[in-house]
Amino acid sequence: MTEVARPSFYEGQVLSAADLDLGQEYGRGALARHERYLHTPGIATGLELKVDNSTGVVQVRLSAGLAIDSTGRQIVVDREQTLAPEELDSQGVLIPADTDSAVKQEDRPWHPVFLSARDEGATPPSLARGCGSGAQPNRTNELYTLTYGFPGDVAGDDTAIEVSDGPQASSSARVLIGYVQWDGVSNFANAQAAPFNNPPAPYAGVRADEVVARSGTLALRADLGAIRDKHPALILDGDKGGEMRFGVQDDKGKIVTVFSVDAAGNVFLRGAITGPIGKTSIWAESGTVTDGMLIPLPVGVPQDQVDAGQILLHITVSPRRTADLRPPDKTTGTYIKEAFECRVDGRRAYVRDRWFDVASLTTPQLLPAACDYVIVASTSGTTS
Amino acid sequence: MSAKKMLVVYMAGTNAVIGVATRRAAGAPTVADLVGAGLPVRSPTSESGVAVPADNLAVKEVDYSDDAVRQPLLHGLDTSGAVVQITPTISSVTCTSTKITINLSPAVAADKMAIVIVDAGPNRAPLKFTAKTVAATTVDVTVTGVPPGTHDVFASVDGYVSKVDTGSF
Repeated sequence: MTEVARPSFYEGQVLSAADLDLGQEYGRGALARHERYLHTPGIATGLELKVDNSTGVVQVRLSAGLAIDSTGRQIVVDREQTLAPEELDSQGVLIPADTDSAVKQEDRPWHPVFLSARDEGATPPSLARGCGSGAQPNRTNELYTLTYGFPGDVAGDDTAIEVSDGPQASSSARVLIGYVQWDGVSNFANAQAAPFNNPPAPYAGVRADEVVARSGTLALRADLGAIRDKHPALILDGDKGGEMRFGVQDDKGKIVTVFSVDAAGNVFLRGAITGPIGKTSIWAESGTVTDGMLIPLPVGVPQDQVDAGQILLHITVSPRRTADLRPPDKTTGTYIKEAFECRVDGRRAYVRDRWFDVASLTTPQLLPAACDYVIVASTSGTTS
Repeated sequence: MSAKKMLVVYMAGTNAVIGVATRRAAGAPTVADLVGAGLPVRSPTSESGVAVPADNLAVKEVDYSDDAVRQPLLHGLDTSGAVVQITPTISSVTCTSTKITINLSPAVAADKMAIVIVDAGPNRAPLKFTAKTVAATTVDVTVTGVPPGTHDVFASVDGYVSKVDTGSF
């Protein structure tokens, strides 16, 4: 464990290099501890892998950007860089599926691309050398290294670090920035940030147990890059007594609310509830069914929960009394109709009418009919 | 305001409607949600009938028709998928141990689907047989494995009112 120390000075002090270094390291350490413990590692901006086919040869370019590694170190890629395919080859991570000609290109594996920090002592300019001390580096360039992993490799977090430590330049503290695919011979074929079945290159996040919006309105927006249109957002709005709203955004970032709840507990829902939502859930449906049909379950009530006894059904049916003069298959004659059968077995409705021909009352005809129903579903034990 | 809708359950092979339901919710559920394992179609002259297995059925949401609710079996789906009343009828069904003859009025065109479901008795799954029509007033459907005795038969021919009858095998 190393104590955190900052330099302090007094008049007449002879400043050593260590004193000056401590001043820098204090600031670097404080920033790294903030990045490490209040954020999650990942890409902060840029660092997009793009495929350039404009020359007829596939080139994979990495855009400039900034990442934060697991030690809290900021890794800056200051300009666009073209990835060198020979480096992937030389790092020994190619596997048979990369070069097997029998493997379709779209089936070739994706190799993760990692970014890690590297320090390099800089040679001082010739006119800046100290008297009699020889040529020693008097600055450190903060560089980066790109490495490639085997398919399925993860960034990992193997760097041992104390809480008081500053940023490290460790190859084990690497940040995943995307994936490349080999062309089977000697070059890249493709590059993506999140190919199918591979974890996406992470963006840096925030570790916070409390987020406070000083304006009174807190927004969580799931934008895609700079694109807000059609991406969801959650708003905690302090106006009008307080409200939480969820919906998709338009291109200006305004959300079209599909769900909201105000401070009084009033809920607005544009869609349907499709699952049990608590001990007092009740669903209802009504309509008409013909003989033999099942009474439809209300939307959101799963049959398996009914079968398991977790949801109870309460069904009532009544004969559908329509002004029919005679059976549907008769065009003449005088008939009397009565509801002969109208019952439910489980959810199945059995409904028949009995028709009497007044000219022959002893030979009634039974015909399938329809009934009106009301079905109420409730979580077990909540209604009687 | 959108037009009132209803759900029709129909024979997937012949487009004959055999059940109707309405509900408040929009959209069509699965066939199993509306019929379970099968839809019982009962004879107008007896307490028995035939359970048409769900895998022969389909469901479609269509514009509401009070006539179809009153008498589903008098309706079918036309080529556009709309429910229409159909007038050609199956006048009778004649059964032997090897075939079922469906008598049609008027004569049927060639190459229409005919489906017969035979109630095979308690604890046995219904038996399904199919045939294609020729231009005639009858269509013969070859049957096998029907237990000897009297069974309820459901016959459906594309463009004709379906019929539930009883036959001796």
